[in-house]
Amino acid sequence: MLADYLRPEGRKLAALAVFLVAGTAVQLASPQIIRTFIDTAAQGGADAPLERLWMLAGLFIAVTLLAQVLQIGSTYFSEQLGWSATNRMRQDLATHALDLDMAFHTAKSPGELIERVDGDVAALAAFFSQFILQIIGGALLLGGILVVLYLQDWRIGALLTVFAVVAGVALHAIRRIAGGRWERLREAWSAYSGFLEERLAGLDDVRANGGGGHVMRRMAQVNQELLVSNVSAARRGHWIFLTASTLFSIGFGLALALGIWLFQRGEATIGTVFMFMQYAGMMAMPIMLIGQQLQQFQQAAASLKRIGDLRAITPTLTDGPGAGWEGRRMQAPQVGFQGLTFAYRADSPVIRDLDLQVPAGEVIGLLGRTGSGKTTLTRLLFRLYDPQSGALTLDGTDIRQARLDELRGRIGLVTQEVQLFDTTIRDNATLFDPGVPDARIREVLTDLGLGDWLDRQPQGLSTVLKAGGGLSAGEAQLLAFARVFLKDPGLVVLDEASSRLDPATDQRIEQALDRLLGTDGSGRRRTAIIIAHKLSTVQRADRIAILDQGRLLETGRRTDLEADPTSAYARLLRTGLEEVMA
Amino acid sequence: MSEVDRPAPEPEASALPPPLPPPDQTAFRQAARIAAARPGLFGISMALYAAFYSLPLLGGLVQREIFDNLSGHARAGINVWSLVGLWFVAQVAPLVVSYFSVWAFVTFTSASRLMIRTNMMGWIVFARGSRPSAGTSGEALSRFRDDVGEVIALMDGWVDTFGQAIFAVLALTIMWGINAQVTSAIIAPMILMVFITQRITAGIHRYSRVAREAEARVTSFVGETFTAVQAVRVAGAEDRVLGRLADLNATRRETAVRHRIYVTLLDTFGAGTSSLALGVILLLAAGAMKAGEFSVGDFTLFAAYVGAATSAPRWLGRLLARKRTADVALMRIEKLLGDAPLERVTEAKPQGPEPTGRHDPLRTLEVRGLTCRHGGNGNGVEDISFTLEQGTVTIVTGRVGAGKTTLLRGLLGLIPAQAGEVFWNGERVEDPATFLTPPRCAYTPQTPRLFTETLRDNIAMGLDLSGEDLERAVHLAVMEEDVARLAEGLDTRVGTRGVTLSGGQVQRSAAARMFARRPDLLVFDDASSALDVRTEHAFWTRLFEQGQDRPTCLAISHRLEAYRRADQILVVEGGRIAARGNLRTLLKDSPLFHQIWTETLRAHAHGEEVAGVRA
Repeated sequence: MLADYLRPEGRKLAALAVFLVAGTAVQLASPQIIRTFIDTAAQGGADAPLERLWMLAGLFIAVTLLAQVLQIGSTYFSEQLGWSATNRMRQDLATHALDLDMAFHTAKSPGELIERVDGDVAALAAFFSQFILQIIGGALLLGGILVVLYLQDWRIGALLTVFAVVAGVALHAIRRIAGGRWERLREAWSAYSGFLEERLAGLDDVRANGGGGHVMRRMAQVNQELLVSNVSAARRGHWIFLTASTLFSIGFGLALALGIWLFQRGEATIGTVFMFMQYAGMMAMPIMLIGQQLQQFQQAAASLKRIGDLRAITPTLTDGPGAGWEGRRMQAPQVGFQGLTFAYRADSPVIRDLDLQVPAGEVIGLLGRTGSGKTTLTRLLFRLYDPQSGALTLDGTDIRQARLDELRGRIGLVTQEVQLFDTTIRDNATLFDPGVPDARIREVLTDLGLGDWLDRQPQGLSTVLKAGGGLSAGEAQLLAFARVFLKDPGLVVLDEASSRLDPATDQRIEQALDRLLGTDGSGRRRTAIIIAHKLSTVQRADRIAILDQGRLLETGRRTDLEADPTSAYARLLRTGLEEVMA
Repeated sequence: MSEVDRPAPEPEASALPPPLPPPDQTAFRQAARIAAARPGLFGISMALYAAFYSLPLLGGLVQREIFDNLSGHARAGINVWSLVGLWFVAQVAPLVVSYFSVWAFVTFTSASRLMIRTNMMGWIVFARGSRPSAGTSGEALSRFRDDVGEVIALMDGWVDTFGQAIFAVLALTIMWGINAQVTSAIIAPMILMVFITQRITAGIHRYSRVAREAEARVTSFVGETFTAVQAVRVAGAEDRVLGRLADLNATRRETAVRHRIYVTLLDTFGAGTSSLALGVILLLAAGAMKAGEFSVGDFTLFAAYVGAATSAPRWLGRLLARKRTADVALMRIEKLLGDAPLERVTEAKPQGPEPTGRHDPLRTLEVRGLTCRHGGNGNGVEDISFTLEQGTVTIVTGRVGAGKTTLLRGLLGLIPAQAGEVFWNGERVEDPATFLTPPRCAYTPQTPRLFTETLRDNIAMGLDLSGEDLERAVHLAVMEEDVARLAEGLDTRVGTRGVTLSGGQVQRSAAARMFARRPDLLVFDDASSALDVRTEHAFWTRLFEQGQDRPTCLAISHRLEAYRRADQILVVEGGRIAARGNLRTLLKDSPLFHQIWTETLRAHAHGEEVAGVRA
């Protein structure tokens, strides 16, 4: 999978490779220059050629500066590479997840999906860019050092090779041992965060009811756990530092000792002894970094696996071939439910063999207890799910024939829960459609009685709506109506749209509803399905359908049912909806 | 995981935007107070860090002896192998020190963080006055976690800087003693670096903020998209939403890369300075070595010291950056706490509840001219006055956004009031927020919060309740049937990691919590909105059954039953009391109330309530 995402970045990869190799070569050169300098100065004594020494010093400075430039270049390309690749991955995953069945989305919280689509991918981005830079760059440098040392003297090469292997293995082992230190801390932290979040969110409850003392006593308990786990995690973490430092001191010491021994035997110059120490010092960084990155590789592998798992889930709902509904978006369709049976879980059907027709341009009120299948019907209509048997039709065409965008383009939905984005009023109303002119949005909002509210907003339509603030439940609901008005579809579904509002705001919604459905004579008629808990809401319906445990209990023209005292609807009218539907 | 002290924190980890950097010494002053709260631990940490940083000087001195010995300039008549042994001891000694220094310092920083957090929470729950809105609770949490972490990171800065400064001074002294001319030559690149470092650090600050914002926008957009997945699909807006995501992604890449480049610049320039200084040493040493004034051993010592000795601009810069970050963090903490003095935040002694004086049972509560203008959404209240008599029921009603909840919260001092006074039995209440609490008053908010603990603990919230007391509270809240249905009764754990209660159950649990406090005055915001008709009826009936003991009530409600029971109804419109009176007079005199009433009737068109009213 990684290769798939890296392949399109070939040029960046090539540039990165050039910078890495050049950078390594330059890094390897500088100890050689110093060695030559020392030997020239020490052996020459008073006869040492000063110009040559100055030239070496100048060369050293030049090489140093070049190394910086190359370092910055390779960082640039590796970051670009990492982010381009992972952005593409995030985009793919988001597209994929948006296409998955609703069953998937009901099972996964948005928080989980943030972790999958953003968290895992972001972890990979860091890994991608650092991995190439540090593992490959580090391996190049380490290999280069060893090769240079072998060329100098096979004994120092062999000694430091053994050292590098032993140090790498030992560090890996100690990291594994100290690795578990985060878990207790992470748990203590999440308990602490949970504690704080709840208390801060419930601050009014605490303060006005004198619960401060209680909160502080609880806080002392969570504090203690956090303190202990924090200190122990830090101390265990410190073992890695101690081990690494001791190992590198040993490596350093070995290089020095071998250098001195070779010097005493006349097989190395004093400059070479110093060069050995410098190379031994240079080895520490890559050994540390490679080990760290390998550990991160495990995390990255876990992220990759989760991403792979997500990609492996396929939607069971497939797009239809197309029903040729172009140009019929605003036309009020006839809606049919034929022998419809549907179950979320195989053994307990929510809709059982339901037959129902809604003529074009008519409004049907759906009534029934909670769990009778009303909301499920609307989900089936949008093809968020497919029925196990039977069919849904618009103007007689099975909706599975239509492409999803064709189908959904014809229907508008207002639900009880209004989802707002942390973006401008304009984007919230149009759902990111830049094609809708501002004047039209303003007109719709004003028609819905949100004109005053809009005038109060500091930046008008460009005001950013803060999620969860600034908008009352009623206003949010009206904004949801605005979305439908802007979409202007021929079929409208209202799901308990006004059950949470106070009577006064309810009234404003009712007016909006009249206008939307064209029942006040102001606009064109739309076909509408209204699910309501309040009888007043279905009073504008032409037809009524009462559902009971997924079956159609009764349907007919509202006026007919009202006139018939034996009808279930008439009984409802007498006893009150709240009592029956509770 | 900002909680653990990493051995070498990256400079950008604490780099934050520098909005409004206050020119004063706030952060340094508070850091001194934090240190003074635990002087022993902090002192030991400083001493150990100084030792940890300066012990490697020995290694350099021994290394010089070794190379001089090799090149035949031995001063001390010690065998070269003994010197190698000594060199190794000098290498390991700081590690032994660091074992203890980390223990001391992590204990210090962990305890200090908890001290600050406890102080913050103590102020929030106990201190006088209202609290500004914390924004989202995630934001407040980040004040507690990240900003406190950043304040304490300044303490890390102190011990690090202290240790490194001691090393640098000692190293430069030793180098000066060996060769003053060569030593003075490395000052030049150091000064150059001061300027360059400052420039780069400013860039890091700027781009770290921009990059974080871009990142946060991507994350929250992904979250919003999947929260609204049904709405997005139903609207057929998938492609538009994904297009927006692609834009946000591209911005994130650009900003992240730019930030990374600046961080790398700082790193490479840092490493570059010491290499450059080494180059300068080479240039100058060439002549001196030729003249025999500068030995190979001297050179190795210079090479060993030059890195740390030239790092002064970097660690000073880092300390200042941390100070700036800590200043910003302290400012945000201050903002979260409202008008809290920062001294309170770094105080060694935790805050306790404010004394509110003797409890004088309620006879009258009078509100005069209460004015709260808050937020930008316009539902403040203006010049609200009313009086509650002992044992009466007052209902506040009005349209959505009229300011009903603001009225209640303003009265209780939970949000700031621009004007207005509250009188308890004729005596002016100095601070409603701490005064209108049990046993005088208790409150159920519009959306009450329960905590992740047992239902019993939620209701008691620190009170020592007898079984009888609990039973009474649960009964008054019409909750006994729900409790009986819960598997573990009152011992059921509720909240995110326990049983999820329905909205109505949460509301009634909160009402039980209010009743358990047996206050003189009950204030509740729409406590019955999630109740069905029968439960609501039981709620009011039980409240009235208390007879003589019946507390005074102030409640927001839109229910017919509430209107009928009320001694006084306040109709709020546009933040002012538009009408007041009982049901009969208001129906006669107030067209607004009449309208609300008919709308309510229509909403309940065929319910039993209508029959009740007509009867």
